Amino acid sequence: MTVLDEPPVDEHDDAGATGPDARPADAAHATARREPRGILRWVTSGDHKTIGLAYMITAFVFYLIGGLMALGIRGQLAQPDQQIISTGTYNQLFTMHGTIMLLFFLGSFAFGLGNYLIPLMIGARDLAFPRLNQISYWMYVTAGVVTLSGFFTADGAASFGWFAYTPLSDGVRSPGLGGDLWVAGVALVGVSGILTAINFLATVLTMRAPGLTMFRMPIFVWNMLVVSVLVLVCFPVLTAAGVMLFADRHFGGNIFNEANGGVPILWQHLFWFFGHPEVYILILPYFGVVTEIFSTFARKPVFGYKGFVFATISIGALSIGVWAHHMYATGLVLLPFFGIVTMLIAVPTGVKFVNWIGTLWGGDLHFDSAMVFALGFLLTFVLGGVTGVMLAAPSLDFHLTDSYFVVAHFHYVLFGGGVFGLFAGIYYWYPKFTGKKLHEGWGYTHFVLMFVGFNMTFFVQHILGMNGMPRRTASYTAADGELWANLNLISSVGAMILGASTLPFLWNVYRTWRKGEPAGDNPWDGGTLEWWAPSPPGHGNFTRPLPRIRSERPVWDVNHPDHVSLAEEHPTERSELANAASGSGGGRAPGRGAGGGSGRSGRSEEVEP
Amino acid sequence: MSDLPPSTNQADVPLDYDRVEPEHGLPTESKLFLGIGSFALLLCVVYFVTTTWSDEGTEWAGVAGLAAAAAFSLFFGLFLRSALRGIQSDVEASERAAEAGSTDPDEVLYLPETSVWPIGIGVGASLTLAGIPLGYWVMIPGVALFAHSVIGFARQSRDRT
Repeated sequence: MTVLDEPPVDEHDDAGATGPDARPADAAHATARREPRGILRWVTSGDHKTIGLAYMITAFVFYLIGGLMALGIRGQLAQPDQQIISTGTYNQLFTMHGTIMLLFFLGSFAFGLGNYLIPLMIGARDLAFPRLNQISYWMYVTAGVVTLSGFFTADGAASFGWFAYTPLSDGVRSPGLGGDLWVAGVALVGVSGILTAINFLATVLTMRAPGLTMFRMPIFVWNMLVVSVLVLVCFPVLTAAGVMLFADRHFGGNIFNEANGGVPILWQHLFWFFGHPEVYILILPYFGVVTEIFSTFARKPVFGYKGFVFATISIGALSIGVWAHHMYATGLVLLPFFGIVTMLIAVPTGVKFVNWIGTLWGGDLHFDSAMVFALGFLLTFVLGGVTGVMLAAPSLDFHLTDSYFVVAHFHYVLFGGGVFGLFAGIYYWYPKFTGKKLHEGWGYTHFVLMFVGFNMTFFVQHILGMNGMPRRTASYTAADGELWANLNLISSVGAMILGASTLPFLWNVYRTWRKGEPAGDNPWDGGTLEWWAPSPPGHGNFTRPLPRIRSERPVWDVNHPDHVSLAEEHPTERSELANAASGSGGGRAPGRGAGGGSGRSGRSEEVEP
Repeated sequence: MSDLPPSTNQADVPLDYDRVEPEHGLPTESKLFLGIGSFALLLCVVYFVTTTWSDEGTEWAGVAGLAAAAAFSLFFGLFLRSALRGIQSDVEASERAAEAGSTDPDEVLYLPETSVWPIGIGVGASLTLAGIPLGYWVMIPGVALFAHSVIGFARQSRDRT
């Protein structure tokens, strides 16, 4: 929506607001947007970029905490008959590991990316409701603290698994404050997610720049839009179910208590009505991330753009109707319905793979760290997708449910489809966030360790599951056989490598912070609008008028006016764009690297031919 | 669109240079929600019929969930059908007012200043909820902080000068 005549005030450059040439609008912006520095900025800022970064940093801290718990789990299972931690502690670890990774890390990091990028990508100055955004963030943080604080209670944290099946999670079988704090935290994070989704929806629907029609939006924005719809459909169900469970545990409710007429399986229905769309809430943002990266690093527009959008919408719509494939083993659900609808999801997912491969096919590929992580995503996620189709078949699921095969499956989906995409996004947008590029060499080191560690950890778990090893078992004996012992050892060594892979990343961030070189505004020759803003963007985001938006890659169109497809579509604009680009940098051509950034050209129609 | 004079940027904008497509009929945004809502309704009907005919009988939790998803999506899709173009014109009017140099806070797009109240609302809500199992020593400060922050939030939001 922002098509500016005058640069908005940079928070670090108040002189621009008060100088002799300042216009009244500048003064207004300066009054409204002067922000404190330091810790007070992080606590009080309503700026979408500050909140977005805060979301991402907080989510990453949760990732480190959840990762340490995973190392505890794998340490316990490295060898047979091992008792590094007690059974109770083990139960707490796998419960909190799942809860943190699913509710406080992967989706929350995506919310951070959305916070930062959606306004920039659609040419807006901020999200629609900046203060609501602040409330969402602080509810999320405090919900995480409440959930984790269970570890400091006498009975420890929640230990009934991250999906908290009743009656195991009721007040009789799982007494203690840890469980109560888990329910409270989950209900709060549900509210936080709903508020964020409302904000994203309102922003995307009402604040797009002129010319940015729905079918010119970046794929990332499309995916976040569908994610927001899914959040609004399923998060209220989670929060409502959490309140019901809380009532059962504390106020004598009997909603899930069969002895008094309650229905325990109702929890499973409610939880998975949230839980399965949640999987797509977690991975669809990263589908968007890798799509942007493939397009940028292949120097091509997204292959089959509209097909990709319709595939995303189809996945979102179908995901609402598959919840009970998690409940086949109860014997109380309609197997054909859920089997068919679940398998149908493979169709739009397959369409996406065609889009991704088509985007890469024949492209001018650049294998920077972001691209390498995105390719890692492609390889690992496909395996998670294939095993998902296998588990959709009730006849197979009856044998594999609650085994390590399922653990392997969902880690290939969520780590392969989520975390690889997440790191790809970090390497891709880090220059926009900070103005500096992460070191490529350390990025490759990070990727190799992560890819090897991940596959060592989880590939063998398919075999363990097929050989009968149940999930959530705190130990096993030597009598279970050498196969179990060997594969578990491989898995645990892989987990240590996977954990260690985070160290080069953290070092990379640290060294870049200390001595990273300026990256310029558009170091990758990106085509979407965030690359039109300075790096990092100040308040108001854009310091120059937006380019004319005629495709899903308006910045590319300006920087590459000789591009054939645009010339064919809008032949009359070709000369205008050429003129606009004559004053524009931002390409990846020699001499435009570090510090070059995009030029300062105005919109094409402002340039005299 | 806005009654305000177009900025220099907008002066020669072609007719199709808009955010909402197509120019007439259902906007794409509306179709998105109507599509998802219609599909949820279809699933709801199929699920209701098939579970009713099954040995276990009608599964009402799923039927209710799908019906709610369908109802809300369709409602929102219908709302967008009529409201969207007007909403976007309003936002654009704010933008153009700012570009034209207006400092009238009721006219330009409002970008709020910093606020300490959201952290109070978040912490207060968490303390309140956590206080139910932990005890009044947590809940009472939580309620107080939450109430104080909501009031401060509302009062600050009114002040746009």
